[in-house]
Amino acid sequence: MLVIPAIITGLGLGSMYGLIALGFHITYSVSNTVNFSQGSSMMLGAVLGYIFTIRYGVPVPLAILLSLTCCALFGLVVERVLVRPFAERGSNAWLMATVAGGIVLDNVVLFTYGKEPRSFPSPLASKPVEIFGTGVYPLQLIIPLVGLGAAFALHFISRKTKLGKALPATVQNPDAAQLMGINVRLVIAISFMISTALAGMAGLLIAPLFNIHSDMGTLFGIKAFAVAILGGITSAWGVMLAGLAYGLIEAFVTTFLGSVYTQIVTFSLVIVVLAILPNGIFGREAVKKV
Amino acid sequence: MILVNNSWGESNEKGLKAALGANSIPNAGVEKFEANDVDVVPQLTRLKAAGADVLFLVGNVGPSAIVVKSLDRMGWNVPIVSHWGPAGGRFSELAGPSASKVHFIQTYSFSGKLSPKGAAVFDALKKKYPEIKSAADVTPAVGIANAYDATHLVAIAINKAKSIEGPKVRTAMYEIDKYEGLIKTYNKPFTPKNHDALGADDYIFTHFKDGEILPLVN
Repeated sequence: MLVIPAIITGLGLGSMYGLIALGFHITYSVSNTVNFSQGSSMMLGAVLGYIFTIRYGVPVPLAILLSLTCCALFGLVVERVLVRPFAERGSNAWLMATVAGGIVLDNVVLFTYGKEPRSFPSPLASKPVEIFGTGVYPLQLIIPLVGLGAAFALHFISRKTKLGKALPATVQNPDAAQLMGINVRLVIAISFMISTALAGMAGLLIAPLFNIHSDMGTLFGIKAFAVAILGGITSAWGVMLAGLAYGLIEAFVTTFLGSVYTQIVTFSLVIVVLAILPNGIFGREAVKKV
Repeated sequence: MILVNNSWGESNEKGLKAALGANSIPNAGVEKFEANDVDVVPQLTRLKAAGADVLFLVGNVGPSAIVVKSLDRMGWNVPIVSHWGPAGGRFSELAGPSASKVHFIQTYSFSGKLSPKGAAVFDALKKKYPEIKSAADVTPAVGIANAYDATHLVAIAINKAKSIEGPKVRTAMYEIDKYEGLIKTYNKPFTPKNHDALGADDYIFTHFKDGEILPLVN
């Protein structure tokens, strides 16, 4: 009676965390930096989806394409303006700069889109279907599939393609990688674009289940980073599976212990796991080949 | 009780527990949600399993809509009595058709037949804010109405006191005889023993219908 709804809720939430966390994985894998405005990128995807479809009547497939393109362009801006100038000087100030960039974006959206939460109706989230006696929106079944599909694609690219095998070189020795014909700056810029597009995809997927507003991504961004670290930020599968595990633990704690314990237990668990496994559950200590 | 997890929810929990206790009504459970929760099915499942036959809801418009959508997904049709939080935005749009199941208290609604004063204020709002097309666009109606009357009552007191010094304005407020406000006509609204111009009779239970807030009728 209580278990099935908890599993459905947990998998839906967990795959959202995982999808956003994959963005952290991508940029870290090629540049050792992350974009702390991932939560805002997620919000941007949802807001743009709403604006294109509801306000301007753009057909949904085109609206999705436009929204993801804009999110990718935001990623490019983040990399060019908020990360590269600091990373190239060996400074870690990109960390605070990306946090600030997210806050700026949230506030720009607040002033332009408005303060009122809006709804993004979808036929995939209007009528629940019954599975094991529990109501589930079809979208809640699609979200984990998209998340696992994204993790599979990233894993495949990194392990099975020439590009994927070349990417770690951009982190280990950017100068040597450049000499070998890898355009390091372009690769890093593309990784940021993919990461924000993934977050935008998460925003579009969650929009019909949630309310669209300028700070909808804040908590998601924080939890997704916890998930990325928990899973082992260097492993796409690890990050996705950690996302699903985190969502399930949240839902089970809420269901069986009560909602007042949810945040205490889940974040405490993150601390305990990292104390035991500093590289995350599926992460490995970086090996530098000389 | 299904309450937002902050001090607002805490204070309502205390108040509701005291009121239920005074009437010897046990509560089935108290569950909390975060303002940015996407799904509160686990909390509601606990309440349902504990035998709750009515929900007291405290939250702003967005989270309240998530509670209603989660109930829809569970297929749990339970009466919901709410704080006026849902009136603070586009609750019908956010919560969908089941928004009308949420009953909450208001002091004023811009929907239905308006008094001359109400019509005048509504026209002035539409003139100043062109985005207001219908009563559904006036959010939160109760906040606007309360603020409108309160501002005028304070202005009358300041005029009477010919001062903005607190003690003088307070004394002048006790001297207000009559003011035809938006919510009601205030007769001797304040005395040294009564600092609340609105009483229990000034509140009505309402619900959303097609985006507008309408009084509940049996």
